[in-house]
Amino acid sequence: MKSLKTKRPYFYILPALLFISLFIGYGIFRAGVESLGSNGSMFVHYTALLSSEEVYKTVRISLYVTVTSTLLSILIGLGITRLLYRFFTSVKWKYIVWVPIIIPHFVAAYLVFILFSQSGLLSTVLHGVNGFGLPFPLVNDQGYIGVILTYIWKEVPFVVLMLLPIYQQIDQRFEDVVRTLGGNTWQVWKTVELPWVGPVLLETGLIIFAFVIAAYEVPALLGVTYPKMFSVLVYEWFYEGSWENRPLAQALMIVLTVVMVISSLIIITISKRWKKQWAKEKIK
Amino acid sequence: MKRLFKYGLYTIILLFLLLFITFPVVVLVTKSISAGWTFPHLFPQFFTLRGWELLKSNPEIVEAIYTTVIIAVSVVMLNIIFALPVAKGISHYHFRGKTVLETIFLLPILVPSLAIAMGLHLTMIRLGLSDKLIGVILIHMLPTLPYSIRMFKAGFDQLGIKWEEQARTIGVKRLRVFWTVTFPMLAPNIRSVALLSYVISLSQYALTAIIGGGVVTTLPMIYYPFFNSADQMVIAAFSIVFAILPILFLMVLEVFMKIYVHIVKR
Amino acid sequence: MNHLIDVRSLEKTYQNQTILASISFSVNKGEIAAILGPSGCGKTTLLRCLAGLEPISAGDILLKNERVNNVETEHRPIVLMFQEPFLFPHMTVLENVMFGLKQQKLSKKSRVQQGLEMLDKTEMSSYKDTFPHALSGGQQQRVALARALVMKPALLLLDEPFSSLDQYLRDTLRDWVCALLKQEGVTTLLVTHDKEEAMMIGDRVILLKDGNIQQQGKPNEVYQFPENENVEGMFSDGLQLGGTFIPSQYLQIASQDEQTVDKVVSQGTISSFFFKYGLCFYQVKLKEHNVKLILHSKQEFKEGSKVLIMSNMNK
Repeated sequence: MKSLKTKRPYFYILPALLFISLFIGYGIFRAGVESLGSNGSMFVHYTALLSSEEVYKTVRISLYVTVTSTLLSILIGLGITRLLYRFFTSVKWKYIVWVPIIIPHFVAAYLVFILFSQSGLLSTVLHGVNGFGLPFPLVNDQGYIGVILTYIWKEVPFVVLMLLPIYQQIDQRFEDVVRTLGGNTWQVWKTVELPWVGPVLLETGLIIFAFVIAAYEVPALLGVTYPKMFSVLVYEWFYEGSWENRPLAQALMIVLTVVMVISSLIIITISKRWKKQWAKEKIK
Repeated sequence: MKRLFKYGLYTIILLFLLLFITFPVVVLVTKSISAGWTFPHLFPQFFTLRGWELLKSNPEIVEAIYTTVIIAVSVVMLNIIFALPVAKGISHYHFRGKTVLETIFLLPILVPSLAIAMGLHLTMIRLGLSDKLIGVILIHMLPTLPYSIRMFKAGFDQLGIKWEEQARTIGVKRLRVFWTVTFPMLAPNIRSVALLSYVISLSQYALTAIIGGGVVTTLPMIYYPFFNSADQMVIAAFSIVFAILPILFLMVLEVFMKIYVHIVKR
Repeated sequence: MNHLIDVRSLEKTYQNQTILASISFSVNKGEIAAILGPSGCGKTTLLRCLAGLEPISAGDILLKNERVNNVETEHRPIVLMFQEPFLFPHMTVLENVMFGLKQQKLSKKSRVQQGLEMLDKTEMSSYKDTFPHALSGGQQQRVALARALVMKPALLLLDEPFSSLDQYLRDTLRDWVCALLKQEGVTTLLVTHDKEEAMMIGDRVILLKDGNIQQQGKPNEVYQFPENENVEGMFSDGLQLGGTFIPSQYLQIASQDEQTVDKVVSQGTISSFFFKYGLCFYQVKLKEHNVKLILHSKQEFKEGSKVLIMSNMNK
């Protein structure tokens, strides 16, 4: 009886844990096996990646797009939440934020396309002004501006939804205390908001980063053929010709996976420590 | 004066946000019913429902809607089944290894799901799960489950354990307490989880393409080839379908939840 | 034995901390016992152990002479009511009251009938189709009580059920609940930190501090004959003097020049006074060990005047 009581949470967790570890564990394991070379030189595909100019460009463009999208989404989302969380206490307003959430990424990409492509609305309006439309492409462009815009439109509401409950949890009197002690907005942010918001911001940033760096849907539509982002390149390799580039695709994904796992662990640890500094976990 | 300025600023930001979010959607809806609204014409030539009719008359699309909805609804149900107990365990109990487990449950959205799909590809074929709905449903669990666990955990955190304790001490068994008290009280979280996992399932192209092997034709499978080639009106209408499906789903879900609470209380 | 519940050497430790150390007591059928203790004394944990919400570390809980240590909460005929009413928000008042009956195999008709009967007793039947959020705090507690009593529990546990209400509501509801429990003959164990509440409601009081029972008995006996310093401080009024305790009813204030046959036990200064229940009370700051004592006196004293404390205990 007693043993059942202490084991109960494990029973609750077991099904999903088995499912996830089996899926991820086995998936990565198979990918790992298939990424290895056959005769003697096991890491031949990994060394091939290292010497490839295309891979180097892919890493660079992927990091650039991901870091830009993540940072901008976080900053804009944080700004909007800070300014408007009092308005969002009435439930009505929250539904607006849900609009971009229920729209799939590739439809968001299409929205950016009809607004910012060379035949899009912005270009049409400019045509009325200057007679030729957009002077340079914003979509399917080398700078991946269209891709970044799409991610911002989709992820800012996500950031707001992650932060909103946190901001609504913060006791308003803390801010009053800092203000009456003569603190300014910056000090309110540093002493009242950051300890609460910081860890969540880190985690949210991590989730967005992890998603953007490995997502296929948007860059496949709004990217360019050279340089490609990770998933587009890998997806192409995966299906190319008679599958001869598959090990290369697997190898690149394994590298990305390892990097993501390690950096995730680091960031989650930092975030957890940060939380612990000010809040002891509740005991029942 | 300063107050007035502050409120003015808030209103402007709110309006800007409204514009930022809704303007693209308005343009999209307009585009789906306007003919000849292309560069360099600033305004549509005339309005027509031709785009919608073309879409409706395409049997492939109608078929794909069925497939997509079946997959998405299954993903939603599996998410609720798997995530609820996990969230309950993490939120209401203290046990060894909890922090590690919480990180593990976040992994599916941190690790590239494409890597896992590619790794599982051959195995799925061998198991006969590839090219079948079940394989696609299972792979769609990866990008959805972590969010569901998180959202349910927030729900359980807010609820606390005392409602269940109160119900049990009155003399009602655990399972019954769960269905009659906990589940109805988690309604807002169930709504969010269902909506988000439904939308995420609807948004998958690469995972569906790899595991579904081109045989499982969901809406995105048709949408991608359409994107650059087809009639702008049709693709705009097609895009709107993706937004309508979750809204319809939410409405149906709402009815089901009402019926559920009604039955449970009898 | 006619003890309804018998708790024997119950111990509870949590993460190497002793919360309850060897608790033993019993409650008779139909009796209302009040457990009194400061916050953190383990009284809520004790109730949770009895209800089966917490496993116990050692000892026995006997209900009608049967050991229930390992019986799950839902199978113990014990109902616990928390501080807050916890009415299920998606159910009407009547549905809330009938909630527990559904586990028993009863026809819907008899469930409704029992529910309505109990709502009648708690004077809430006119609200039967109302949802909880539309009720006031006191009304919610009544419904919660109806929901508990309709199960005809062998033992009812109340965890400071009135503490979330305001003073006036608390006083009226307390009398009303007490009368209803007596009328229904429900054996009740009530936990409180308010000693007046314990005295008013309890047929017997059990004093708990630091996880130990300090004393138990009839309220007036415990009040007059405290067994140790903890009880003196928690429950009784009086003066602690070099190992002996003099209850307040034996103490008197006298001015310094007064001639009296009573024994002078201490001296002090009047620091303030107040009126309550038609009497005047003086707070005396004693000369020794910085103790303050509150005593009633018919004589008038000025603030700051030096006084004597007299005892007539051994006369």
